[in-house]
Amino acid sequence: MGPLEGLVYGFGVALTPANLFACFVGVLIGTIVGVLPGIGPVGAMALLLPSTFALSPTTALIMLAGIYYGAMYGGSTTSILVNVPGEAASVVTTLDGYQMARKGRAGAALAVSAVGSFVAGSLGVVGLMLFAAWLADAALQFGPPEYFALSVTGLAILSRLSGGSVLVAFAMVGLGLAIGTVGMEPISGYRRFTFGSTQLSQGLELVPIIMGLYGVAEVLVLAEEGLRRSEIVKVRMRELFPTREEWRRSSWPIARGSVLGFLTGLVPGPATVLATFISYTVERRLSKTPERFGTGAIEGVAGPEAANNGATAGAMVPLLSLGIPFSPATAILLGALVIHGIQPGPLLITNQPAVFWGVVASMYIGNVLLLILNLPLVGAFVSILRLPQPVLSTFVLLLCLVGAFSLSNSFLDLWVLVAMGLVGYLFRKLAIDPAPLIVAVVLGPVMEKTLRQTLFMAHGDWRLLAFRPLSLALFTIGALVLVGPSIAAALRRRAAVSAPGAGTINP
Amino acid sequence: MRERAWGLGLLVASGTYLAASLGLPLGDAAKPGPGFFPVGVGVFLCLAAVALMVGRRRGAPGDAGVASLSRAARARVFATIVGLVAFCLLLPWLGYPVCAFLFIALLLRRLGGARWPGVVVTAVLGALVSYYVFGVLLGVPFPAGPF
Repeated sequence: MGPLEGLVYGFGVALTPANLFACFVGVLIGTIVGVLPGIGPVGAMALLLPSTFALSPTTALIMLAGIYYGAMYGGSTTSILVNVPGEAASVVTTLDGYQMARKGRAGAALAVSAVGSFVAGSLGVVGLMLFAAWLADAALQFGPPEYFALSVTGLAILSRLSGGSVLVAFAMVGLGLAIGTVGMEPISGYRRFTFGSTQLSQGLELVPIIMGLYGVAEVLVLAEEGLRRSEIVKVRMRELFPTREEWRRSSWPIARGSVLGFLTGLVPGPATVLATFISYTVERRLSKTPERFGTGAIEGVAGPEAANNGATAGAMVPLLSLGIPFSPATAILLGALVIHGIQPGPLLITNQPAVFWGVVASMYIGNVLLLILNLPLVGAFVSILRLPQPVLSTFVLLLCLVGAFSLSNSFLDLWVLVAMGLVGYLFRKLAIDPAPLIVAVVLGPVMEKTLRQTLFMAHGDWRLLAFRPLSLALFTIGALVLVGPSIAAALRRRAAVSAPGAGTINP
Repeated sequence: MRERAWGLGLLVASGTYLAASLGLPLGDAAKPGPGFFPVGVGVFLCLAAVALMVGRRRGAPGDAGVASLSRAARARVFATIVGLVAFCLLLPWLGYPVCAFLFIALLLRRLGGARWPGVVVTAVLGALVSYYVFGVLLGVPFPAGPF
């Protein structure tokens, strides 16, 4: 099935009443969690995963994907109006978005950010459609050594990009891999670290781990702050139209942000967050008046807002074409596929065309729905912030508890949720990003299985693992990303020391 | 200090995990057993923990974000944790509606200092509506408790 044929087929799937409704519910919930600082898209997706059990796999994935990209729209609203980013990918938007709001241009900032998100979301889906099909074809040639190399390289890049110390990220990867070894092992069914518990032999569920690390931990941080009231800038409908000059200034940043965002999404790491920072830096570098950035430059809103939406589409490529998630959000989407009995991997597009093309087409529809939802209803979404924080925190926690229990009606999942919540809170206090841990929990079993299969195939010869052309290329990329920046920094230091007038190092 | 404690905690956890992994059948390179991968992970974790501790001792920059909390903030976090643990402990004995009521009431009271009448009404409504949605409509088999 070619891309155009596939898309037509996908629209047929996505436009059925059930899928259209799921798409609407997904983007609506996404916008709401994007607005609310207490719970981000990852926590919300984990929370709602159990409620999709009764749905068809396509409908479930359409709804969960809707939450993922919908949150990028909602996140900008609070950044602009309240100076509080609803989720991490909207932090950059506060820099110029809130300044625009203070100057009375909140409406223009919201409109440009919604249109930028729409353009990037739509272009990103085109990229997803073309890239994923191409990559899936290529991935049919992959054997266990290539999958092992891909997982290792993905984790290495994620460790380098997730912010903070690489050693801490490595420790997170190790913890995630260790958690992934609990339960029956993937080849012989041997029970490991189960302490005789039948529940533990199924392994630890991903959803309570994510809900704990993101949802519960976030609420514990909010609990520190107690009662907080936000100052909200009011926006009138007629203020929602940017001037011609504002459109002119925004158009290229939106185009650049869309492409940058999509490409960043392809790389393992906190793609949506990273994309916004890269786009902001690029726009400021390219600007003839960089001094306006931070004081209400519309380019500083348009670029990053397009970039985070482009990144959500890019991040879907490795998930849908290789069956490998490189971020916590796509890990949940993978979990949804597995729970619904769908084998993720390069054959997904061929074997489950309804899932792949249905989700792609639903992303087009979702972006249109989000544009319609976000502009006229911006006031309604912002009014959610008037809900007292303690009430919100209490019900988010209750939903986490119910969600964890309902996964398999197990008390073990409740305890995992609470334990991971405490661990996540500790991580927050130590400024540690738990994303490498989550991705490692998912990739651990894949790594173990492919490593052991490779060694079986090669009769214990490690060279098969490292010297197949693609594996070698992937390992080299991973090593370069890991040690490259340190080598470059050392070379710069040496050059600075040996240069005449050493000691006056420019930043 | 807290970073050092976290490095030490990680080292203890990694060592325990590695020791437990060594008790699993290891196999050999040509036919790796169930312990092969966990042992590798355990060694990797121990190395990461040691490197972290050495890095800290050498004066590497510590992670930011560790700020001291006020007594009230600590009390709110503690109350939330108590609420979560109590919910898990009491759910099998008291059933969902009672546990949800107690949980909502405790948190509303401790986090926001809401007045009792408002707390009771919100907790009763919250417990009943969530029970109806999840227990009745979505069929989650919550423990019934004594009622």
